[in-house]
Amino acid sequence: MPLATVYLTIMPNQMIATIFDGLTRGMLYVLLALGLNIILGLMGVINFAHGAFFALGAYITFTLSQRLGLFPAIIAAALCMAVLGMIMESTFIRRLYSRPPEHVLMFTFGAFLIIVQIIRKIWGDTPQPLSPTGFLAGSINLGFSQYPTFRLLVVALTVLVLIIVYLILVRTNLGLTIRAGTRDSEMVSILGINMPLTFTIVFGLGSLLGGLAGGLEAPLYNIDPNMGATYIIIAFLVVIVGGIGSFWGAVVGGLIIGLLQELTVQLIPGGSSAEDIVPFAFMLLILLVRPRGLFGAEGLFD
Amino acid sequence: MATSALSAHRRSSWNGLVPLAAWAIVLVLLPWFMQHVLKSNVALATNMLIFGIAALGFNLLYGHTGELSFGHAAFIGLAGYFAAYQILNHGWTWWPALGLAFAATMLFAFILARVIVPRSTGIYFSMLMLAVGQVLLFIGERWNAVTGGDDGLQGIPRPTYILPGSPLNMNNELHFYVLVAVIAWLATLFMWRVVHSPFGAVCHAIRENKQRAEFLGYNVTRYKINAFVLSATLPAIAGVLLGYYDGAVNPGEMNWTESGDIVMMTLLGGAPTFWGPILGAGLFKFMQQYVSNYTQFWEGYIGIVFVGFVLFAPQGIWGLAEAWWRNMRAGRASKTAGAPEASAENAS
Repeated sequence: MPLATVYLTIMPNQMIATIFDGLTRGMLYVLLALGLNIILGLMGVINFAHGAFFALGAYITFTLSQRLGLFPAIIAAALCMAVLGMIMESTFIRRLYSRPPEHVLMFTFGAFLIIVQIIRKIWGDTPQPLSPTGFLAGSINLGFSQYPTFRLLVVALTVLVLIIVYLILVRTNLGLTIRAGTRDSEMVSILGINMPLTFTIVFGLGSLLGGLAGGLEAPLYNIDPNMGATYIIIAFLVVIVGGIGSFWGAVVGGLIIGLLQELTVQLIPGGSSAEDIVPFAFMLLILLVRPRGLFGAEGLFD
Repeated sequence: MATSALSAHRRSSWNGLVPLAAWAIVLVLLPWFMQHVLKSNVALATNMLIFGIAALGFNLLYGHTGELSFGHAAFIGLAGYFAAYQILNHGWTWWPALGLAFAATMLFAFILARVIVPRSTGIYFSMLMLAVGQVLLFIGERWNAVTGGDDGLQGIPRPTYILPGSPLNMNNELHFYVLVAVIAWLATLFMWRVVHSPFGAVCHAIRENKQRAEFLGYNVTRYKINAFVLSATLPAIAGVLLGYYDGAVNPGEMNWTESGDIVMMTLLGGAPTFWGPILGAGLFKFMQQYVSNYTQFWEGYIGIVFVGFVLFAPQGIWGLAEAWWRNMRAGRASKTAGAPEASAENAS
């Protein structure tokens, strides 16, 4: 990347700021894709409704922030999405596990359409702006430049959530069940583990991450009812790039794609028109070299 | 075994005469029905048929072979763009534009099938097809010089010349309907022959049990590649027709939600059946027009109907009707047969 080197030598501060922008964007992708990926890994469910939860999380944050303040609103919205996800899993999706996997896919697609229309009905079609308030509104001097406090919060909160999810996966019995179930959920249920309950919890956890991503996205960019349709595709790409069911795959894949997009937009003249293509090009490259994704395990979903 | 299979095959090809003749009658009566019974218009009937053609093709891959593609709208859009570009920039007429768009889309589908089908199956395949559709969507949105960007290519005139001595005037909606209806019937004939051929039988075997088909010596990947390419034929034709119908093509036609619409049409009508996709496309387009008169949130209502079918009747409307018809016939047969059937039931 000679262009990047040029930028780095001429304007190092700007380059570092761009990298930080890319990381914040990537953090959103990581949250969204991780939620999608643990559901996909454990249950084999491609959850289109995840995109709708993301959008709904952003809108609930938008409404609640007027009363509670931004930060509590984000947390509340994420919790709402967790509850909604658990309700959806335990009432409808559970009935479909015995069916061909495409039926769940189609169900979540239908749920996606319904939720998006509900959002349109409640909040309307016009994009809503939401700016950080209170202590989140300003910026902090990081040495190389002033950096918006809210973006730093996104990074900090995401890292915290990732550590928590990682500890849940690695250190708890629930995590053990999830990791074993990702390999072979039938076997795990034969061993006497309550798999239906685990499925519901994991669906709630995944939806929580999706809602959290939505809440964090809302103050960074405008929110509109179709935001879920755009972001869910990027989350799919992250999952494909990182590898299905892989924690580190979602993390690394999300960060790389976020960085690549931001670098394209800010460093290449006219790059913003290639913003949407870059993740796909990267996915194709990865698939040619590693068909299962960066961290994809052998034997899943054959 | 062999003789019964052979005779079953012969019988099935004869069986096709009745449904296809009935389908021709439906096509003839549809404009009248739309205008006088549903108080709608011929243009809607044309729209229904165009999407019926596309869904019929899509269903060869999903309903008959068992791979769900979430990117078939890409073929519709791609063919539409090829035709529209030549029509608008080089003044091409109906046949060459159709021919080029079809050939180019087939080439694309063939290359795509070679790349994607051997590498992925199941939900992974669905996701990759979705990604392919999105790539085409973004190219359509950004490559302004060729695709016209977000606005797409507009001002496609209806074809003026189809066949020597034809009295059809395509600017008349009824005449354009006749063209689309003839193509729809031919497309159905084509798909009927494919589905009821030995090739179609292998596709069904792959859908039912991939491993068993493999053990029987069939090259599953090759059959799936062929099914994939064949399933792109009809969407390609539908794409060209749609360009003429709307007088424009735009990148939104390739969006993944459009592919989702095709999936919904197929499932509503009945994916495991031959006629389901056509019925579903008709119903979907009718609901879209009808419900959108009352509410701008029509997609949500269609979504509710769709989710209901996924949960409670995944065999779709045609599948339900077939089951009902089979029960009726079985009931009548047991009534005429009388005692043996009833006693058997008592015994068990």
